[in-house]
Amino acid sequence: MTSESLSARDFVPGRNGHGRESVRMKFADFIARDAISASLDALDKESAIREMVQSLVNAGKLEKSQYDSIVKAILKREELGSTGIGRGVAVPHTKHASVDKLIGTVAVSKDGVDFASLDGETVHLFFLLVSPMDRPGDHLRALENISRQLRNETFCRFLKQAKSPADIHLLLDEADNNQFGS
Amino acid sequence: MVDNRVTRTVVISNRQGIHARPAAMIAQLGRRFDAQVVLVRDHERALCTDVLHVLSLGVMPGQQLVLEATGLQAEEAAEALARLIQDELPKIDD
Repeated sequence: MTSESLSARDFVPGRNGHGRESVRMKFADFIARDAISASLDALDKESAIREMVQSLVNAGKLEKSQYDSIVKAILKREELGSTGIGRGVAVPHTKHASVDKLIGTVAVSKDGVDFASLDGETVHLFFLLVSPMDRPGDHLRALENISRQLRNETFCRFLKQAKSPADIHLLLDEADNNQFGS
Repeated sequence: MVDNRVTRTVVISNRQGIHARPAAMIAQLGRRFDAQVVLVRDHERALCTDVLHVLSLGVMPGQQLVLEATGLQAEEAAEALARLIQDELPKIDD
């Protein structure tokens, strides 16, 4: 038996039903709906990060005066290792003293961005997170939710096909309501 | 057929749990072996070679993980991954 004999389809998330629902973070708990982008313009890593952080500033979720500091922190985190975790997904993130609760955004790139991902593929789906300095648990819970949903091929496909922020908004709501079985 | 399943139980020792960077390290290490390793937290299972799978377990500091390895290099894979998870994960992410 080789390491590839079982596929990801053999592992269905969330079907065990062992009490995780009550502590699972939902997208509605941390995604800034007004910052969602269905058509990221950026074509490189730094531009993509800048565009997403700017969307959070424009949505009033991050302080304008902290824009450069937050971008710098996210880029510094990328130096430790790309958050392009494969399968066309990236989760750029940082902690920052200017936020007192976890905030994030979703962005879809139709053309794909070279993010130096672990599998060498371009990234089409971004979940950018900015966390308070002292709440690592919230960050982990958000990552858990994001990755759990992204394991679902239908969710990923619908996300990539989204034509507007409203489409993505609806998709996230459906995911929060367990309509993808994740 | 001989069942060469190897299991190890580890406790997450770093302060921030298995977030993106540790998950990537686990997946990269897991791919080096001719073995299939599944991580089990409570009753939830994840392929160790898939970062999304690993992250979806939402493993917090102090939680226990069971590694189940099968294949030609099951023993080596289980030992290496157990050592990584128990002792060598990044202490601080950012």
